Amino acid sequence: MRHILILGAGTAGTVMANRLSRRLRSQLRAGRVNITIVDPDPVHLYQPGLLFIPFGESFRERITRDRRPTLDRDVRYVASAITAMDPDSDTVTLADGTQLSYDLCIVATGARLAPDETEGMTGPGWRESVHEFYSLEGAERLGYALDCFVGGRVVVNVVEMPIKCPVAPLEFAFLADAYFTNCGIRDKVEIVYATPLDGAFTKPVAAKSLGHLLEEKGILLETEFNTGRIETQAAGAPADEVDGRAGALVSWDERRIPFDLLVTVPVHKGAAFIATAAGLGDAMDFVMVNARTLQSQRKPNIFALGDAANCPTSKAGSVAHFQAEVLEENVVRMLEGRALDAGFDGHANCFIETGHRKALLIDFNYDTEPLPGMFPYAWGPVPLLKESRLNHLGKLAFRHAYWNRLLPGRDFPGIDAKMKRSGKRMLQTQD
Amino acid sequence: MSLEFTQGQGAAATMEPQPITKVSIIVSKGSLEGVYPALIMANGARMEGIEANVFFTFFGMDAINKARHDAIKVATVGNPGLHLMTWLGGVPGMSALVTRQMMKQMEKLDIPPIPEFLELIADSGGKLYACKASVEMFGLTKDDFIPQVEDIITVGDFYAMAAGGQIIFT
Amino acid sequence: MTTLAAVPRNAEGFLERVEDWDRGLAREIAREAGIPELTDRHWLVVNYMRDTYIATGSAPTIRTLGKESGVQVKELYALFPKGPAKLAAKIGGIPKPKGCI
Repeated sequence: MRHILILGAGTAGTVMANRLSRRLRSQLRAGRVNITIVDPDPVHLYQPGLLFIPFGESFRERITRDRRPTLDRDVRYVASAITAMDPDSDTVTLADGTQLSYDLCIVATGARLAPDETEGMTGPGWRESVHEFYSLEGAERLGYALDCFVGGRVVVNVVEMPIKCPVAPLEFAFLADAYFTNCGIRDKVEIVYATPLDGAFTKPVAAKSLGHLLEEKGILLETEFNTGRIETQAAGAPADEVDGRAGALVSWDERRIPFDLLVTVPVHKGAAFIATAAGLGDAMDFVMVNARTLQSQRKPNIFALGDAANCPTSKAGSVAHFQAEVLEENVVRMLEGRALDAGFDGHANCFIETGHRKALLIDFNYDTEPLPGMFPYAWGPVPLLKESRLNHLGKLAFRHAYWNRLLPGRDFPGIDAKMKRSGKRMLQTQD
Repeated sequence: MSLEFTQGQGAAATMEPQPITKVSIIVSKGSLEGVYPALIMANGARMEGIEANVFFTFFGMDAINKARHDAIKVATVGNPGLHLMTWLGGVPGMSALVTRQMMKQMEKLDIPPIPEFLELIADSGGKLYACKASVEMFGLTKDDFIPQVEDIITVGDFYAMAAGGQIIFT
Repeated sequence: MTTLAAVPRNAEGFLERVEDWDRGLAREIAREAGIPELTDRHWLVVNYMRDTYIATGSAPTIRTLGKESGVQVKELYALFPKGPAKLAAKIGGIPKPKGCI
């Protein structure tokens, strides 16, 4: 009996569990293999939906579901937190002290927010004038703050990379512009986007196609801003104590951006227990893996995918989906003692909401930056790197596809794990 | 012998007054003080979401007559409410003066002049009609009326339209 | 952080205290009144009503609303069926307009 243990039942973990169940069905039924998945939260959160909660366009019940029904019936689900892992003894320890042994372990515990890593973030202004929308509670509290906002400066910032869904903070700025325009107070609001990167879009072709969006929407851009600390007024202090506003974002080189409302993306780290397994994770607790096979560098029987892995591509749901296709194959090969397939090419694709019911799609991988063209076929139906209303419907349809196709581990016709070149207007040098 | 009337009493005690859902207002006079109450009633009805029909008859038709509706005056003779001596009220120009004073007051309260008021009522969904009998008597046609007038209808049409609602006569 | 249930209102559903208002409450009151979503046209009217009340102490008349808010009377009745002056006031968290016009 071989024990496959999956840690974490978010998008990546769930997709892996469901794919492997289907692939190894006969062995599961024959008792030669079993699959166990561990996750302390009995509720599955559709994270892409969090972006819409602060604007009142979505709500908790729409983006959460009971976890058990999302998992294949032949998968054993343990609702528990993981406190430690020992690769040498192939065991994992749960919160209640139980130890689980495995023959093959897949780490899919995602990325967690570490607001304490930034000085002052969780001080007096936390969830009052300083907000994040990467958690349900954060998104809901931010919604209340936006409802009461009557004017001033809204700053949206990313503390440092990597973060989940790198486009989300930019989408937030776009949607905030649309929200305030709709409520009729856009002229009383200043929106600033502060990033540690050297531009809103770092890849040249995307920057050229989309750079105009920020200017059009009157969003001010501050680049190469590495957040050192956040200063906020003390509780009960007058409302303009810090530089005449509620608080200030301060960079390591002492540049100051005063804000009335800060929407920040805190530092991301891997699950805490990864630090208990020496050599498994990097400095931020992300599992070090081979970027193409997804096998860990610590021990051959440990794999990782999704946000928990340190692959040099975006941390996004689409990446987890494409990685799962490759990892499913590699788990089977591992069990059969065959060589692994170095098949993952870093493929990711992303919808970017640009506000006013429009969106655009980008598709890229380790070697190819986002390019214009059509997706997924040369004839379309969806244009790349171009705003359209069709794409917004695509994002909404995606929520349906997430629960009904992606999570159960099914593929999408025309969309492969490896990024397709057909349909794209490649740069001269790349052909 | 005492009779029990408990059923009647009980019914009265528990019945809620039904809200008004439709009013049909008749405008029969052509003076400022004769037209305005009807218009205030019509606009007030629309503001409460009550369906409103306004039926202009006899001199009330001056209010919807393109040639006359911006020249409607206060009646200064035979108008006891004004408390104006009859001989003074009959002086040429007195009616125009009193009307001007009254219009100034109304403007302060943001009550519009009659032509604008009728536009407001029509834009709010109120329906304006002229009385067929009066139209024939005065020799008028639909072209004489402001464009907001829906139609020229008979009193029978009016009663059919007013069915199920309240009728207000001014 | 308030929800409609927690905020004191009078028998007709108008806020007891003007300062309790925020845009979340506005959306809830609108939904209660049968308006599922507030568009930018709705907000123009609601903001105008509230700003006028706060500046002058009374709500604008329907005539002024139609002329000054940027939204004309016909559209007002389309956006706020059954009485825009009353409904926009309620959604804007100001007292029910007194007066006949």
